Amino acid sequence: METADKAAPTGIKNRLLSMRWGGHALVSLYISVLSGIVIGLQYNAHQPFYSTATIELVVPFGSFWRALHYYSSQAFFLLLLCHLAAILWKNDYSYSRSAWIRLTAAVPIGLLLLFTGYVLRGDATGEAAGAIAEHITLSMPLIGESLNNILFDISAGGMKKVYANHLIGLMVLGGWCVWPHLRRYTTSWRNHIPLTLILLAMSVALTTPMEPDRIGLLHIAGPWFFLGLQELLHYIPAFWAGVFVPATIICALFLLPVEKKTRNRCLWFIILWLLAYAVLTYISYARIQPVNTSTKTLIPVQTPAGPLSIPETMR
Amino acid sequence: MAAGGKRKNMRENRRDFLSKLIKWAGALVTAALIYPIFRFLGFTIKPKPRYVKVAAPLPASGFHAERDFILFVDQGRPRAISRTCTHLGCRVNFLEDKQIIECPCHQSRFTSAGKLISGPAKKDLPSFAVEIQADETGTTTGYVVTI
Repeated sequence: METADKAAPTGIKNRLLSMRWGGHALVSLYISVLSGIVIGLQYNAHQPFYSTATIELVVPFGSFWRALHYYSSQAFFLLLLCHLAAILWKNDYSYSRSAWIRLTAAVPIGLLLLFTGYVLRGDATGEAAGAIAEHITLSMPLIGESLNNILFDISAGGMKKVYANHLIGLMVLGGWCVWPHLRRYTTSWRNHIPLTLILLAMSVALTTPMEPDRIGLLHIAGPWFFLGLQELLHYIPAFWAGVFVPATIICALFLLPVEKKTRNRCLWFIILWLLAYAVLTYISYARIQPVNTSTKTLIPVQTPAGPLSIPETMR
Repeated sequence: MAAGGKRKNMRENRRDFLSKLIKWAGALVTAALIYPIFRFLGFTIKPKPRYVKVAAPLPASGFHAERDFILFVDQGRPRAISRTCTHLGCRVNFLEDKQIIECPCHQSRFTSAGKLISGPAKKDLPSFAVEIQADETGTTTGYVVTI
């Protein structure tokens, strides 16, 4: 019986479900954290864009470390989602409600980590995303101002708090969320060598996006996972678009360990929410393309080594 | 036997009471710390006013964009319009060909005087005080914008 269970999986579904998504996500996180420490030792939160641009263009191997941090972080989040989807699909999780909430809170925290990483670039995209996030937080009744003072506070304090949260606050909170899970399931680098090599190759071969503020930049959409929300902000107030709508899917996720009927309703809600978000994302993406492709110029950046230009390919 | 059971019960009750007391004390200390944390983090020192000098005359286009404002000079009268969108705080741009100010995030539009044309923003763009600097002959040499 055991041999039959362990037989090579057949079909796409089995193949997908048997992949080590959780282990892949964890190894990506390890790479992201390690490369983040390297980047952090060079990054200056007082001059975010200048600092990012000089890391990318002047500091030896800066482009590589930045790319490694960027792609491993993206991989971590995407693989975390795949891991969650596989677990829900297999339906083999058995957690108490509180343990489940603690564990799955790692998803919004992971998203916030990714988001604060974008903001810290200090380029046009990051700066706009930071301003929007601050305003969304402030739109929350009663706790908005206090929460903004903890999380962002960019307009008064610059990137100081975003950097502290990216480096420490969110990492500690995320670590606390997944700690019992990581104690139970361990992973080894040996099982993830192809993934590690792919991430290293991507970091060498691909440039990391950076969008300097420039005349003719008519449409800023923000990070890829932010596009749908950005589109929604066109139509409805910040609180409903930025707090209420995202909170519904998180609540549905938190509610999952319940009896089957409610659980299925929650799952259907999550699926429909994601579909609607994908449509909004597509609309937002389609809105940017015709506008921003018309402007192709080199942007001068003053560095200690003299003026440099950020090529079009890096945007 | 009954006395032993009673003592055991009392011991358990005491342990239960003490563990609850410790939990409640912990919760109380945490709650008491929340207020100072929020007060500490929420305190911001108002920044000193900044003075940004823009040399005169402005380019032929009649405007000059800085990080925080766009300076327009119309028949010798300067106005510095804030670049922070009143919708969600993105940095607005002046579109010279259309003579309007537009937000790149959600496309709110304003006149060059900062008046709202179309949303989602609901308020006009604020403006900053501008001081004209002139030499002894009365020729304008620059503009000082107070932010």
